Amino acid sequence: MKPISKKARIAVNCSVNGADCRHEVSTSRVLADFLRDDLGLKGTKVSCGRSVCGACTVLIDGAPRAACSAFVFEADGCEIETVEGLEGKEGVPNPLQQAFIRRSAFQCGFCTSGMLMLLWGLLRDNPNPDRAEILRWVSSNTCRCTGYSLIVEAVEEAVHEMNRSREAAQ
Amino acid sequence: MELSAHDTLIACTPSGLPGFDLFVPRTVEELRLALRTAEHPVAIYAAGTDIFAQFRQGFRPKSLISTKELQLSARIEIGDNALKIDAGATHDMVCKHPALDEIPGLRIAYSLIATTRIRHRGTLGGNLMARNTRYELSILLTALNATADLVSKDEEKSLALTELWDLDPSKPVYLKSVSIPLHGKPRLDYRRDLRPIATQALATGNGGYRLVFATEYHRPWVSDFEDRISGAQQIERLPEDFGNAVAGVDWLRSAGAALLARQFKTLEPAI
Repeated sequence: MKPISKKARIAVNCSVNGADCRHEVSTSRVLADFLRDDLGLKGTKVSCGRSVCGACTVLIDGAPRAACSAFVFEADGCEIETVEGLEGKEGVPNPLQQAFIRRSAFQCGFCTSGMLMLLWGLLRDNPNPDRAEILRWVSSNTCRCTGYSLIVEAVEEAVHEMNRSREAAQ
Repeated sequence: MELSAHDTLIACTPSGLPGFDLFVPRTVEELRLALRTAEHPVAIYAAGTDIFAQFRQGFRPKSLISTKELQLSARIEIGDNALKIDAGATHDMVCKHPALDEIPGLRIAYSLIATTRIRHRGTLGGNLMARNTRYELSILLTALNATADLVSKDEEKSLALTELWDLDPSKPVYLKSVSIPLHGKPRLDYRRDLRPIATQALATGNGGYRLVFATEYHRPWVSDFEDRISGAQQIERLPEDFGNAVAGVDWLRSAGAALLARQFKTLEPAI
């Protein structure tokens, strides 16, 4: 096993919002900086820098992860999803984003992209979460503005809308 | 904080991390080779939930050993009359595993720690080897008399969890797994109502009790005793230096006694 030197560049192959991505990075390149500065995806916000607040939450292979506390080398072979990937064709917000808009589930907006990614991860893991589970997940991320209740209501509304769409499609 | 090029103080961030030599061992043998050859200071990197906090506090490793490829690093199984949990198991994995039914109270205690996002990522090994007085798995598992299997550059050995706190941080070791003995049919009650001021774990099995009391500022305090009366006496012996700016030692002893009374009721309701 040969170590990768601190002076070397590592080739990382991953998928970002469905698009193949190949870059060479240093061993210590942090994922949040890579997404924002190398790929221009500024939707991922960095706040605490130590995976406490969750503002930088992205999905890696479907699991929520603080991008400020992940190295790019870990993402080799992985599928990364950021808030930019949530919207559908022609920029139509997805059901969760639409529920956030209808419920005004944001004020300053700094935590919003992280909240959306975290809760999109929840809805993919469990399309029918009850309020207790929504609260458990929401409590992973910090919002200083809203008091969380509108965020919880937005998720419940999104669940309702998505179930309605699924039933209509059947 | 660190000094900038302009002689001002700026917060340390992971963005400012200089490059490090990266080791990605696949086997324990490769891990030991990495521990022998890596330039110090060395960071052993599992999920990263603790080590990025250390980067934020100015830690700058020259080498990083990533455990992401380490084989067999997330097993949870019963064997040799013990519950064995590999260090790479996430909190979420552990909580969902049926093997935890062997120790009543462990699943609910384990499920209380950390947020959902961290639970999907944080590992047993990372939590224990951070040796951070604010982290809770050390409290639960010490109460259950768990031992840690460690790999260093020269040897593999087992230690009681209490001994992890005494390890030399300049000599990196890898926590491979934790074993919790099942003889005596242990049961656990963990109270974190008073967190962050104090938390307390009580385990029973083999006819006795083990109490573990912890605050944010001290490594856990451990006391073994045989019955309720001696338990109440033991908590009065909580060391003086546990008193801190938030809670004096007398208050902590009283709180511990109140928690202990509830824990006895939970663990031994028939008495």
